[in-house]
Amino acid sequence: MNPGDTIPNSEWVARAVIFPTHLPQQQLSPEALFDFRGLDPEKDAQFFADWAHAYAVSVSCLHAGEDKVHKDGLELARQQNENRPLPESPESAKFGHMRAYLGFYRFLAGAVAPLDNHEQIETIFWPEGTFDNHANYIVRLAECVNRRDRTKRRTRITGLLWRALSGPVRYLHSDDTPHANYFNEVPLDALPA
Amino acid sequence: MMTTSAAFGNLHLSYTRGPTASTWAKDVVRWVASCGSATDWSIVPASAASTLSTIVSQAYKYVYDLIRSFAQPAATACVDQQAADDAISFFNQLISLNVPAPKVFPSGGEAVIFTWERPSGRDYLHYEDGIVTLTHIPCKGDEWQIDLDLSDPTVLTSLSIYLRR
Repeated sequence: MNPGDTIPNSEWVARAVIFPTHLPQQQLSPEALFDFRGLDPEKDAQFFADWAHAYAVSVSCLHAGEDKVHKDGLELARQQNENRPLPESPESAKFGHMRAYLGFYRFLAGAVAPLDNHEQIETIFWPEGTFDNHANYIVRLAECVNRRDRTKRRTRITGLLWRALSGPVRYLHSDDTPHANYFNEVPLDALPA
Repeated sequence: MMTTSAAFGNLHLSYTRGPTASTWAKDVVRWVASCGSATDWSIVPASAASTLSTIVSQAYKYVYDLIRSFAQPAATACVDQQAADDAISFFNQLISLNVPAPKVFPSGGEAVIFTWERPSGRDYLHYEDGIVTLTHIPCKGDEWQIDLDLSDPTVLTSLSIYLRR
């Protein structure tokens, strides 16, 4: 597969769970796992495909196997710890003020169908740096869709994606990882609910 | 079914009311007492009413703090200030309706979404420019979405009944 290729709807992709970013603690909804970010029409022009608005969530392709997805998840947490250390708090002292990869949920690239012809959903294979298995799950919206309706459409897609998730496929940290017990015991909801 | 959720230290707990309204208050107090023994934070309910209001107001406070954190530029998935302001403004109305404390998540850098989990599915709500959009994703079957104009005074009442069903 080449960068820029579309991942077929029948392919499985994975979304990594990073603790504590994605955990539904203290009123953070678990759908925060799908943190759609607005793409920049100039810097990310290749993902817009002539649509006016585009949002993306990073996923891993499962065709390379679960071990590869785990490996990339661990590396993602490591890089995030290095580039953006967690603010220290009495809470985070319990796990050494470090993020940890906990595992992933899977879904089909074609899990959610677009509502109508004002939106388009496409998963684009896009290796990034050391993440040679990375893809962008992209939602594109037409120019006529106003801000409130953009949120409305993204909410529908996010909710349907959540319903389509299965897992988690858990990664268990070995004893030589600091705070392994703490991370391994963080509860993750079994899905579908 | 009504769900109340609360945070105790680093634990997050939720309690869903069963169908028998008359036993609910007693059940929740018993649940709160059992949480105290299950964690290393002792809870001594001085009275059922004050305990319940503390739990609920603490959950609301966490929601408020979380919305404000989404607007921080350093946030992992931050939203613009307008989105945070709209969410806070609407959240204040939700509080006055005594709905169960929602959870929240940021969306696309331009909105905060309120969520409630039900046995029948999940409800999502966001507010912008006088309009509330409600999205319902059932466990099975077709989703629906509805826009509600807050200039209609009956809308908030209907919404609170729906969210407390």
